[in-house]
Amino acid sequence: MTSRASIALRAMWRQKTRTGFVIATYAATVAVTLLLTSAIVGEENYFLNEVSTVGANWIYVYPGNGNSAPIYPLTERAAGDIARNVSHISAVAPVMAVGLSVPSWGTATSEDIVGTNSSVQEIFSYKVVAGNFNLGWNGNLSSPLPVVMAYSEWTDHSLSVGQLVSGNVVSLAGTGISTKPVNMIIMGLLAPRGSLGGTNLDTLVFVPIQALENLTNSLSLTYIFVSASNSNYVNQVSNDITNLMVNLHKGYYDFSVTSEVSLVNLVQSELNQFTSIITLVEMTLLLLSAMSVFVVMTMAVKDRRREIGVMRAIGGRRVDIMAQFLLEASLMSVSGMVIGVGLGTWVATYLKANAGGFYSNLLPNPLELGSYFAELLGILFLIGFLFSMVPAYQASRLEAVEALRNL
Amino acid sequence: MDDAPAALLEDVTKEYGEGPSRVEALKHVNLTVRRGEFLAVIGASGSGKSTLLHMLGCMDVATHGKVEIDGHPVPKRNDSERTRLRGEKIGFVFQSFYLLSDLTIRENIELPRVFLRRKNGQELPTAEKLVDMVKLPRRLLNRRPTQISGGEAQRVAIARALANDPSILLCDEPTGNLDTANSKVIMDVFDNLSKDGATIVVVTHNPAIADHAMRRVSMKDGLLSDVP
Repeated sequence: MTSRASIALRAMWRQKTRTGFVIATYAATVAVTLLLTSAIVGEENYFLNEVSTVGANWIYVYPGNGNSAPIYPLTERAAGDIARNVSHISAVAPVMAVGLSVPSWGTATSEDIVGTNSSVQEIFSYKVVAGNFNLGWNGNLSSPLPVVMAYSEWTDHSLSVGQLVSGNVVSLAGTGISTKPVNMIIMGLLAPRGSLGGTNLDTLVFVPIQALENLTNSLSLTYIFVSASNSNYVNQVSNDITNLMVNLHKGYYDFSVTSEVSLVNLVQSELNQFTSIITLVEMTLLLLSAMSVFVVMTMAVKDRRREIGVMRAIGGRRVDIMAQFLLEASLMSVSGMVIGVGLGTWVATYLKANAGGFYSNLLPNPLELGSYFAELLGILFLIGFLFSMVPAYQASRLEAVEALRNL
Repeated sequence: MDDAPAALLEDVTKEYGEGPSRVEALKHVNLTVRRGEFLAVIGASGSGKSTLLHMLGCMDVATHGKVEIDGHPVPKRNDSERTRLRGEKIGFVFQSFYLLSDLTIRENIELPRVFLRRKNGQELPTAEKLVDMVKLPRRLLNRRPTQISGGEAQRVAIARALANDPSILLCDEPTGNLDTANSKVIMDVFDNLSKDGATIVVVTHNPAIADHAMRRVSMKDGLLSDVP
């Protein structure tokens, strides 16, 4: 049975080049839009997921304020003052991080030795799967150094979990913190924590901070991590720490105090700026696609006056003619959009699987992109539809006599 | 409506342009086309016979006067209603066939039904029956207009005009683009349709074609007169 759809499809097939141009434009627009959206949403999800895996309410203090080098180092004394003088905090963990290569530890080839105390467990919600998070130290460097580290780092090691935490002494060769190998004893093994801000929390090896200070002959901390007792106090605690640190540093604001909330806000603000630029690019592409369908449909109306005249003569009302051309425009745009979604999904999937790095955070599944992508598709269809209404309206205004006379 | 003529023009005048450039294409034309009548409208080019056909086919509106199709007054202002009337009551056959080359013969024949709104539950003839009526082999139904001859194309156009079971068939120089042999075939088709009770109006300047009609009228300078 002859239908409007079959007439539209035949006309599209006859004008293969023009149809292909519109479909290709829409497909490219949608594919690029999907990739860009996939990148934005993927990055946002990645970061928020990282943050959410870490204990809430944390604040961290680090040397320097972004504009100048620190005048005073961050010290354990500052951490102690914060713990004693700032209200509404539940834990304070001074951190001294030292990069270290550990070639003799089974598959673990690169670790960061972190001198800290047991508060870090609470702040970052570490879960102990064997042993305990005891970083107590007797101050004797000749004794094995107690360490706590991720169990996942030991998956290929010949020692079992039980053996690892049963008091075996592990010799740490080429530590970089001492001219001699340091003997260590594993006190606890931790469940996997994932990463935060690009730092893999599972490659950290925790040791007592005083031991690391002695080994490195340094008192400069890398961070002080603080946990507010309640998320409502994060801003207050941040302000109190800032005031205390300014006093400690004799009026110099040569440090930074950042909270989880401000970090999330900062990242989201940067993502929003990025999204604005991306949206501008996407809107430009959307307009180009809409222009393509407008131009092609205008040419189609001009070339198909006889067809329009015949349709009008045999009973096609103006609304029928308009609907016919809008149907064709819609079929072209929807075809392009479907191809674009497929193409974009394929490219995103390929990049995610093979390119690594930034691309590993892509969200190839369009259904996971949320309303933003769906809205873009809707806008794309709507703009194309509105643009094609002009030539469709022109077609509908043709009188049968006029259309057939001017052949 | 059963007693009403297939088409009626009462004191119809059609003017084009304004002021000094005003042209009267039809001047106070009165015409009644009876049901089952085969009428030929003859006249030279520019005599107004195509304008008359457009009036009968609801493709144009009269400046003055009244036009009725199958008892229904043709609205002057409501294009949608006029088009609906055209789709339901009128079948057009053009000199240049005007088949759509993208569609098959079957699809061309069925094209008017795409726009048909309602037919009071009346069953319409199938494409097979329509090609039978115009003496075309059914195997042509799946071909394209470019794959058939001019005579066959015009018979497809007649089948298309009959698809909605119209009250009146309007033919504008239907043999104008055909050779003598094909013209005869087409006129045989019209003769057969007329014998079966179809109402046909043929506009032509060819007296031989007009001879097939039951009645002939002549157009000259916008005036209509009977031909004895």
